[in-house]
Amino acid sequence: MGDLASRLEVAKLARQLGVDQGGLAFLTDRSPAELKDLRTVAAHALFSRNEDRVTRLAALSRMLPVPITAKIAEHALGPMLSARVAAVLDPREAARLAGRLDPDFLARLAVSLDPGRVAPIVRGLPDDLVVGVGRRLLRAGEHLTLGRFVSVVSVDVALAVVEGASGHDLLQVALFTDEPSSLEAIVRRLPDDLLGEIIRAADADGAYDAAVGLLLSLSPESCARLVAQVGIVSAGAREAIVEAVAEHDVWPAVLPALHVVDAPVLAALVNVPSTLDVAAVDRVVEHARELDLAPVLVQLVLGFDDDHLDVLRESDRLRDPALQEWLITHAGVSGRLVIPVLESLGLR
Amino acid sequence: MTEEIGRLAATIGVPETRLAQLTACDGEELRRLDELIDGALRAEDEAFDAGLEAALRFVPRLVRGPAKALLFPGGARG
Repeated sequence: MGDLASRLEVAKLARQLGVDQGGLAFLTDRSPAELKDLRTVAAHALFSRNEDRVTRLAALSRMLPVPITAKIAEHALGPMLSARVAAVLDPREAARLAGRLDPDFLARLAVSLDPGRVAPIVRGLPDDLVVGVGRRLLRAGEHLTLGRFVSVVSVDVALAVVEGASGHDLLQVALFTDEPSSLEAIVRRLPDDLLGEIIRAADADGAYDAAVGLLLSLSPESCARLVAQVGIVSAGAREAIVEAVAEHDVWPAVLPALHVVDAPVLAALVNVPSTLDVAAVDRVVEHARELDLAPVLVQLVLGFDDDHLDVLRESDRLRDPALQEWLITHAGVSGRLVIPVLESLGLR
Repeated sequence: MTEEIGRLAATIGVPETRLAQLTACDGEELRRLDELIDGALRAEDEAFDAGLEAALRFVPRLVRGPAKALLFPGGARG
């Protein structure tokens, strides 16, 4: 999934430098970790460059009545400089000032904030103000900004911001979320139908890599809830999702989730053209063995249609006696069920 | 470390070793990156120059003197 993660990091770096993402396209083959490190270094340079002037502006704001400071922020400094100054204000000073600023201006200011530097300030603001600003950001398509703030606000505030959001918005915000545990906490409270909307949005946008990227960020339980929604999209979309899973070889994240997916959804998911390839099947078998997921492998085999069972007959991995022994011992069902299946496939 | 890494490190203000992860980038890419980061830093400098001047105009006349001394210590503007 390095490609997608790198593209997301490049988008964040481009935002930080105020340049078009295309201008940094040459960096997309660098690893996400390298790009994140570069972004950290660049952020430090930007924040420290005018630190003394930021400190002086903050001191000026303490000298003046809040309404005048608000006027200076909105009409003299603008959102970017105000964001720099906000980061060095005391949370109580910042809260007083935020209460005087136009929410539209606050939304533009939020785009330039570094969530890590202003977390105590944001947590000290009234929830309705944060939700209002968040919804403005959502309407403006500021998924990147919202994603970066997910870990700073409470789950209740995050859910209030995305209330009524489209599947497309939810998917994009999720992708830009820096902290997987925060994303997980939110997904746990999203209803299944909204998770279905995310899958539908991935299909409509052709963003199958993004859907798979999201699966990778979630716990096995949440991953299973999302995978369970895959049954609602077209066969073509399911094929594209499975292809993305296979291409990025993220079966280890997906396989545990398949254990709790209903049989019809599982069958719809695995009976796609890309799993008519014996090499692809062997790779899944190999991952199942490494993760000790014999019951999942049995479920997969039982979910395959005739064409896919024909492919299984060619599997070298399933023909391996040691693997068969493992499968029989750990399948969670009687060996009397597994052995005839292997025999009927001509594998034993 | 290449000359381009050295230039970029100087622009950002970090030791060259801090940018070791970029050694796989070619010279042209590093020059482009340096240009973009330098541009961002300059844009921020200009925004501060203008912002400080503009801020002073909103300060009530009675306290403009102390505010000016605070924003432009030693009389330096920009």
